[in-house]
Amino acid sequence: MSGEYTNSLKANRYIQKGLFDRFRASPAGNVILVFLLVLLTCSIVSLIYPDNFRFLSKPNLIILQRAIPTLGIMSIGVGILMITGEFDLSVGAVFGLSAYIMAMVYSAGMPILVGVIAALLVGIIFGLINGWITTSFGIPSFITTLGTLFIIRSGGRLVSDNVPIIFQVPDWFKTLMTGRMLGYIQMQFVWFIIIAIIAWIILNRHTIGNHFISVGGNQMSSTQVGINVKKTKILAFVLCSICAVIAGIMSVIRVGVVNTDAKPLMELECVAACVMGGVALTGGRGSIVGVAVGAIMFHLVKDIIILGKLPAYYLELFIGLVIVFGVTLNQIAKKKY
Amino acid sequence: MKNLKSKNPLLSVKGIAKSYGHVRALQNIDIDIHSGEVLGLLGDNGAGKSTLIKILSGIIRPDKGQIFRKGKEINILSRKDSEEKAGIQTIYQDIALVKSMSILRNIFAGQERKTKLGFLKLNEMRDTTMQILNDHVKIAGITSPDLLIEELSGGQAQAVAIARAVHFQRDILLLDEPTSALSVRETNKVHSIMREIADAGNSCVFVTHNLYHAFQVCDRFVVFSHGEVVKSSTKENTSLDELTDLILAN
Ligand SMILES: Nc1ncnc2c1ncn2[C@@H]1O[C@H](COP(=O)(O)OP(=O)(O)OP(=O)(O)O)[C@@H](O)[C@H]1O
Ligand SMILES: [Mg+2]
Repeated sequence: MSGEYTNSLKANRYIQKGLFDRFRASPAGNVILVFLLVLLTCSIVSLIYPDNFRFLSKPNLIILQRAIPTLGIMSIGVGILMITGEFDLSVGAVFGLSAYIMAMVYSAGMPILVGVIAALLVGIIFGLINGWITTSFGIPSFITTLGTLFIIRSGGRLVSDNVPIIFQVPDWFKTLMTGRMLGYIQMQFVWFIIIAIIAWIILNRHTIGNHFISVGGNQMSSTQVGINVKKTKILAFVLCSICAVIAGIMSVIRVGVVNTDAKPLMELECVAACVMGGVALTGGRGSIVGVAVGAIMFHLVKDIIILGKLPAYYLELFIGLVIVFGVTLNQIAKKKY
Repeated sequence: MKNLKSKNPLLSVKGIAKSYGHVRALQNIDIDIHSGEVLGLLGDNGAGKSTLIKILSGIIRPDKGQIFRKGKEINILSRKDSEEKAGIQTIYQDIALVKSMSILRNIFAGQERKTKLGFLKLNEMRDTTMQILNDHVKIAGITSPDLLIEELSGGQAQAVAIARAVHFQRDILLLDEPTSALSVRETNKVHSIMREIADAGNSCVFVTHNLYHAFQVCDRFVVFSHGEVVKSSTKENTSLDELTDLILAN
């Protein structure tokens, strides 16, 4: 059977694409290539000038591993949602509120795990709300989540009264989430990798992921083949919120101080990381590896700018250029290969 | 064919009506579909053919009317109902494939082979895809089941959609202008597939604008005009000229 198939393959005029071309044409191909080049260059420069460019120094590697996971984990959620064809601008607000809720519950004398569950519930509820409103009323998720972004932020101020909570989680939990292994490996980074692997498996090896891509790629045909578009999208919204909660929790327990005011523009940084990683704004296209590398690139460049003592606005300039040119390059690559 | 009328039809629709705002897409439609026949649905652009197909496949709901399978009334509220209660598989006019996904993933979208925990059995699906592509519609130029639909021509993509429907075949296959993007060879293949399905005792409903094709493969014709049935006739009782006149009449 398959012998016959291969025979009919040989008889045609199609040029077999090389592995490298295939790789470059894949959604994450370009960003991975650029990433490897930047990483290699930084390492070489750092080996030649260890005193002027401390890229490979232990403190720098630790700082990177602490910074990347927050954006990385959130971006994975945002990326999955973008693949289903939707946006979530409320992730930054969910990030801030859920961490505050965890600290609040814990400070009230509950076990830390109860606090974590409370935070996850907050995320799940807002994910359900975002997804339900978007899919039930046909409102663009950009609008829905812009609304919930403001609602959650103001709700957060209402809960917190702008008073930060200072807290110390139990050692075991702190070590588990933010400890260090073998001297060089931060647990945050380990969790980031674990979550990326889980997300990759869901997207590429599980029915749910197949439905995410299908729904984002062509909603009409997904309905026609019997995929429940509404359920699929709501699930993606919930996963996205859960990622924001995990990132939120992780980012506060090391320092032990939390306020509900999230860093502004976090949600857009996530979108930027996803776009750099080859996720299409139109849905149906994107890879977890790309998103993860996009998030890493973001902090890598930030790091280079700090180490090189360059003005901070270079980061924004770079991100802007990458978005504009990166997307254009991806478009060209798709046509060419 | 002649004595089929006396038998209980496999599927019958009675008094179906559907409006889109002010447009009466369908009014008072009565049609029987019998086992072992290829039924041609004919009519000018906008006559209502696709609307009926969509109602039967559970994409839209009629405003009025009933659907019976072997004499028993059924409600088709979803694609799943259409497949499971009515025994229908559909190939749509606008190709229902996800362009950014591979052939393999498209063929199994919504009916994936999976483990109890929902993980995809990719190897099994790949083998089946190769088999489907080889058996049903031999498609020129398809080099691998992992090609994305956007890397295929319109005809190749349509052929994939047909292969999928034929593979998951139930006892009624609805085809809404399936061959408009296909080459002569692929078109003939689709025609012979329809014939095979009918000769095996199942049935096909074939929507087409090509009367020569229709006359070649169909056993019976229903002509739509402005949302109503204006003619229903077996092949023996009509002619190419009569059908042409009916379609052009309005
Ligand atoms: N989604 C829709 N919204 C509004 N009107 C519609 C819609 N779909 C179809 N119509 C209208 O209903 C009527 C029947 O359309 P339908 O698609 O069933 O025609 P058709 O017979 O399949 O035509 P064609 O041969 O061009 O495919 C047309 O007048 C069309 O304008
Ligand atoms: Mg039509």
